[in-house]
Amino acid sequence: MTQHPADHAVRSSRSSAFRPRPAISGRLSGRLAYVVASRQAGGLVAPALTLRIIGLVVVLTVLLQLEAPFAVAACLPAVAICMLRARSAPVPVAPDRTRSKAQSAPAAGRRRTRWIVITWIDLLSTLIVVTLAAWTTAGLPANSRYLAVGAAAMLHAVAATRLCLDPRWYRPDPRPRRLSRRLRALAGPLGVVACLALVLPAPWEPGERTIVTFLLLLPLANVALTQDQDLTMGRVVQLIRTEAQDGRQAVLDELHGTLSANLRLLEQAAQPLRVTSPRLYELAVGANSTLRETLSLADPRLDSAAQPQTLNALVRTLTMAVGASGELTIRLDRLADADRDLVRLVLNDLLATLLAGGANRVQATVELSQGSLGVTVAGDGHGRPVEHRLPPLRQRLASVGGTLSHCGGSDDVTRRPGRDAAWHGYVVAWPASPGTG
Amino acid sequence: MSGIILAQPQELRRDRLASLVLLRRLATYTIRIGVEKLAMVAVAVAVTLASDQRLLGWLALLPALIGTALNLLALVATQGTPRGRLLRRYETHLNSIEGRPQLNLPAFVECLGAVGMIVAGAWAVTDLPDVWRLVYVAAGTAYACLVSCSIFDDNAWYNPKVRSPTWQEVDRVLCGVQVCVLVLGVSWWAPWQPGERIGLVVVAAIGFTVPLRAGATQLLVADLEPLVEAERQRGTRLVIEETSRELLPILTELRQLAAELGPDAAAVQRLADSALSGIADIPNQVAHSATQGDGQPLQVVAERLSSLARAAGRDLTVTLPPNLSLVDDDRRLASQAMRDLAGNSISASATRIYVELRQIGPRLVVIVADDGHPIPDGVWKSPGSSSAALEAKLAARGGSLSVENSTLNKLVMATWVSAG
Repeated sequence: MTQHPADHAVRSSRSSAFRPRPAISGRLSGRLAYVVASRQAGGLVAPALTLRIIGLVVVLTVLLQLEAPFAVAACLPAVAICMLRARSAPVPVAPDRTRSKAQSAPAAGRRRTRWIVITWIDLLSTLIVVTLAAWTTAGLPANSRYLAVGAAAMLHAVAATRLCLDPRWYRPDPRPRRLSRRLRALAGPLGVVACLALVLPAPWEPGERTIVTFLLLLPLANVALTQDQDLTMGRVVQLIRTEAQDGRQAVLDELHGTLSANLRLLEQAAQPLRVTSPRLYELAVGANSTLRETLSLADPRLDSAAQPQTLNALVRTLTMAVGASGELTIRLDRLADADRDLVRLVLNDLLATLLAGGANRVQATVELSQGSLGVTVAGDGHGRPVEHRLPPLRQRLASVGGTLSHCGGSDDVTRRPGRDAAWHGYVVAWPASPGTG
Repeated sequence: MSGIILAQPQELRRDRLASLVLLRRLATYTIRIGVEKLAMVAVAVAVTLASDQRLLGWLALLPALIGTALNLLALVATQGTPRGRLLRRYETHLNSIEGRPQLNLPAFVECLGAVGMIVAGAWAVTDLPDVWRLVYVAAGTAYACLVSCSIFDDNAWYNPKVRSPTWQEVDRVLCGVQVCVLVLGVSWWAPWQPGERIGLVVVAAIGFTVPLRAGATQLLVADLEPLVEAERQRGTRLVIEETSRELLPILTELRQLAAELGPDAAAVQRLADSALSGIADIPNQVAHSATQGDGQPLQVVAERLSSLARAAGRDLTVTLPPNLSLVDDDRRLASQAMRDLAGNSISASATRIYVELRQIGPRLVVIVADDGHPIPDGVWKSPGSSSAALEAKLAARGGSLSVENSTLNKLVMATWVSAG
């Protein structure tokens, strides 16, 4: 059995066969996750505000018994921030990722920075209230102290939970940063530890610390709420995508029904003109391929058909049209427009060459190696490839400093089909354009 | 506070999408809550083992242990095919309650278990220091909260096919208060050291996490239909914009080049024009689909096919029955069959093509005849091809896709049972 570079593609395709590179990964990520979480965060504003007001009123009432203006004054930042953030809720519209940083950064960046600073001050101010409730109330009866500490712990728990459930902070669109994810997962225990560290060293009677420890477990509620949000949000996002799928599918059906025969004919009509006008033929191939690639948009996770992975649609439709099977492995993230056009042309010509020769199974690979873009196309051989498309392709490649060579296979034209079939193939390479990588 | 959210009338809350979401998360949610309940039972068992009054302790803990066992059994019964008559009956019972506002057996036993754990912590293990007892009561309260969450944060409350009686709705709004009252009512009168009762109040307050969790879930799943519609429209717009953005410059340049090449490229120019007008027409077609149901009117399909055939230099005739009125499903399928089959004929070098739609009794038939080459074996209806997709749709409607090849012509027939 002849070994062939495409065997490598076959092996690697088992693990990295075409999967549309998702703009979204994980249940917490993506535009829809942002929108869904924003709606929830908006709905929680009123209950959170009420809880905070209750907490602040309780703490201030206890502190006022002390006749210590310093303690009351130290609570004022918490009161101010509580009022400042009373109506602060994310707008349930995901940030526009299509705008460049230059376009969106100044205003949005400033707003976000301001919001984050206020949020951290908010958390800090609640911890100050927790500290005050524990340390300045030493002369008061135990029940008043418990009330103050409990209310302060609740303030902190509410502030931390609102932060953890707010998508403006952990930014699920496009995906949350690792630090945010970790902080979010640990927010409950961290809150408890911080509160315990601030409160337990204060002067308490024997036995009172147990009660206080119980009180300070309140921030753990955060864990249950964030876990619930993750679990439910994942299902919501999945369901919305499934339910909305028919919109994309309907327009794709219309589009392909209207254009597929038209562009196929266009490519056929341009074929005889290839020698006189190579550009015309290239455009016709590009149009037909582009239409095929738009089929990838049926995947609701994809927001653009102009991704390297969507080239797989070209391979699939070309091979399926003759009852063969094909697979494309892509080992790069971006393709410049010029390279993309050439990859389409190369795939189109080489696949047609192999399929016309009777190949039943075709493997193609597109990869970047040392600044050179390489396309390998190989198929099992049941006959000699029909190579009339190769001279014009060689010419086109030569114009960009590229090469085309055979690989694998042999000149034996009587090969057995199936596993023992030999492979015919071609390797094409040319210097990659800037933007490909 | 979340009681405000939970107080939403059930007519607004009960919704297919919300119910589906909670049904899909049910397995994971149940397992997670189950593990947490197991942890609480483990705490209770540890405290009971440390006490001298074990008999009372074990008696009070018994319902919680049985509840745990029933839950594990439910996991066995619902994962795969249950063996044994008793297990099958248990599965039937669980399935019969699923999605309905009723307590199933494990939930009922667990409710008793929660009461038992709080009773045990307050009244049974009195030989232990108050801190241990408080921990036991806290574990019992947490257990009660978890049981309440699995009851009140369940898809049964969102199922649009059922209605809960008013008392159940009130019960749900007050679920946090109930846990508080239960904890305080059961444990307040037990023998405690002075000052420990404030600990009980704190522990009882854990009950308010139940409406918080159920309310937060309700906010996540409320009113999803507008989101789905927005996403649907966004998907439609995206496909149109992406396709236009990618294809229009290519086709415009192509038409220009073809025009420069003169008569040799006249066919290319005509086809490019046809494609450009097709792209320009897509938004109209989609708008039409949105207002009139799916699919273009068949006259429009016929016109487009004729225009495409003219551009390609083919002779195509379409015959549609006069005054034929089709329901959306039939129109969509007829449109797809005509476009697919005639499109294949045009691009397969046939020069004369005849397309006809006929109604024969309850069946609709699309006939495409041409003078092109016979369809080679192994190409037509290959998996993933458009003809395979069309055949699958026809088969689902009691129809078929067949071809008759002869030396002079080829005749393809798509037939299905009309939905009208």
